[in-house]
Amino acid sequence: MTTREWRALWISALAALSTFAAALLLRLPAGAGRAILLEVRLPEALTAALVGGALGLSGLLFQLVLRNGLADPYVLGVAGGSTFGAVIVILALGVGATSLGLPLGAIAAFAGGLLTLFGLLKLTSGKPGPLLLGGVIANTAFAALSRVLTLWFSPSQLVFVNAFLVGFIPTPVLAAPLLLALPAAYTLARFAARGRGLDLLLLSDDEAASLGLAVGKVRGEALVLATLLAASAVALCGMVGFVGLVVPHAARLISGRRHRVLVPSSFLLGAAFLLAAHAMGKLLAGSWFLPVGVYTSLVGAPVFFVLLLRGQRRDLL
Amino acid sequence: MIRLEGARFAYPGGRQILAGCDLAVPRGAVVALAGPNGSGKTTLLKLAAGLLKPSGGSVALQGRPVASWGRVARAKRLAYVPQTPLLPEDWPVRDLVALGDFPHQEAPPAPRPLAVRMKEAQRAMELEDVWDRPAGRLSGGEAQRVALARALVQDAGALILDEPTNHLDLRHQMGLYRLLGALAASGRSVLLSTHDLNLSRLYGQRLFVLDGEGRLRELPSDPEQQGTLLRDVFGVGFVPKELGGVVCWMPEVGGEGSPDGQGDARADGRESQNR
Repeated sequence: MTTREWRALWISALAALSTFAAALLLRLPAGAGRAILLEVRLPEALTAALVGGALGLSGLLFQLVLRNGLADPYVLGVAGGSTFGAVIVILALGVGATSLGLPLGAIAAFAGGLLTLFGLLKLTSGKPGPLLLGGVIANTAFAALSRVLTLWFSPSQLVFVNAFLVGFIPTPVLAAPLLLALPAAYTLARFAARGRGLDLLLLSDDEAASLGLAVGKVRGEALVLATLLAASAVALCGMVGFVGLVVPHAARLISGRRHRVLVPSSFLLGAAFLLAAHAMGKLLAGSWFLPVGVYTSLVGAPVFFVLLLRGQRRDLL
Repeated sequence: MIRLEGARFAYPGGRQILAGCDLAVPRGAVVALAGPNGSGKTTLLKLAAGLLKPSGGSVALQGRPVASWGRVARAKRLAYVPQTPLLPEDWPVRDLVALGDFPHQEAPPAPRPLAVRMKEAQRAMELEDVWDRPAGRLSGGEAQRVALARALVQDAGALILDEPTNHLDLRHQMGLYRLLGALAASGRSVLLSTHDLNLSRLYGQRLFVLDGEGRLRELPSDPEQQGTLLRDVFGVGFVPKELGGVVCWMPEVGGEGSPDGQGDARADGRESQNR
């Protein structure tokens, strides 16, 4: 690993740690006991870190496999499909993200996300422009359908679904973020060690295969894991937008291009991004409260626009 | 050693591309493959590289069916460079060339250190000036040389190159052919496709021709038969010209059998069908 790559990893880790501390301690009420810190702040910060990390990693894998710098779970409609799957379970079981319904929600989210992704890939043959438009359409349609479903349920659930559609950090039991820790740890272990294999996916299939890569297997595995990460994140926090889009670009800026560094760096920077958004919410708490997805979208939307213009200039869309 | 015996290929439900091709590329040989556009040169090279499965016949690498080698074991023995390599535009040349070491990440390690192979590839492909440049800022010829350098770093005993002189200026074409000759002399097998019949022959490569019907034929030694074969296959007339003891073939511009001449039934028949 080069000096620059080590430095990038340290910067990413420091960003994640400092934002984690900020999310734990910012505006902690004076005289607050250990209970608030351990039972509220810590699970929230862990959730934000893991969801952010999972979305960053998911975005990196989507951008690599689809050879499209604009891909992320939100833009591709995977988040929308996952949200719809999770909302069906949440409404049907009458449960929220803190309950035992979470694993079921995650499974439904995974199914929803995977079906949306493969449906769109098939319909658009993976062409960048139609795929992204299809993703936007899917997100809008699933958000509308999710709201329609609430007609049959209580007003409190409508509030919950509305927050879910924007993306928020719930205050779960500590076990809840662990649901996400498993796929995230697996993906990190799998791909950080085999970063060179991911690098080869940037070449043509014939070139990668002639260098000894099982192209179809690695690509399929990356797509399924990216969807699983996004779906688990959605099951916990709803549709947090643009983390997966912004983070891999930031990681490439500081880490270079090799995936053995980009994989851990995208996870750490994703965690830092969502923790920062969450900490921002804490900082502004009291004056006005906004769900965390609002902050990520405020940063992500302009970045998306700039990338879109750049892609258009290069005739990629 | 690469050997094709009766190799056939057709896409499912499509026309037959290769109709039983026999070809042997022994150690120490450079074999060139020519033929009209769409005659199946790339298909044949992909079959030989194990990237496509033959519909019939057999393809062997070092005496074993190419498909029976594991992916990495095959990549240690055989390097392939496509006609148009896809280079991620923000990667520097140095890192792209180093990707050739991928199969050697698995045991057993390469006999020669990566740094030595990288240095040799850099020098052989004259990449010193662009070594740190991102691929997006390379010319077509430079990009082609980067892909070739990556194949050299792969350090395989067999090299399969699809139109490797594409985009190369004449000096680099000659440099590449000299290098391929040297690689063959060191015991490697080289199979390439080309549209430049004469340069291949001047560098002593054995020349095979795909005839557009999926049949593969070696250029005969008799100059008269050579002329007939080339005219049949390419649909243009050729005029022989001897250079340094090698019979080269110049296209007969404006003459009988050439597309811009008065026309030859055999050749123009197929051309007009294609149109």
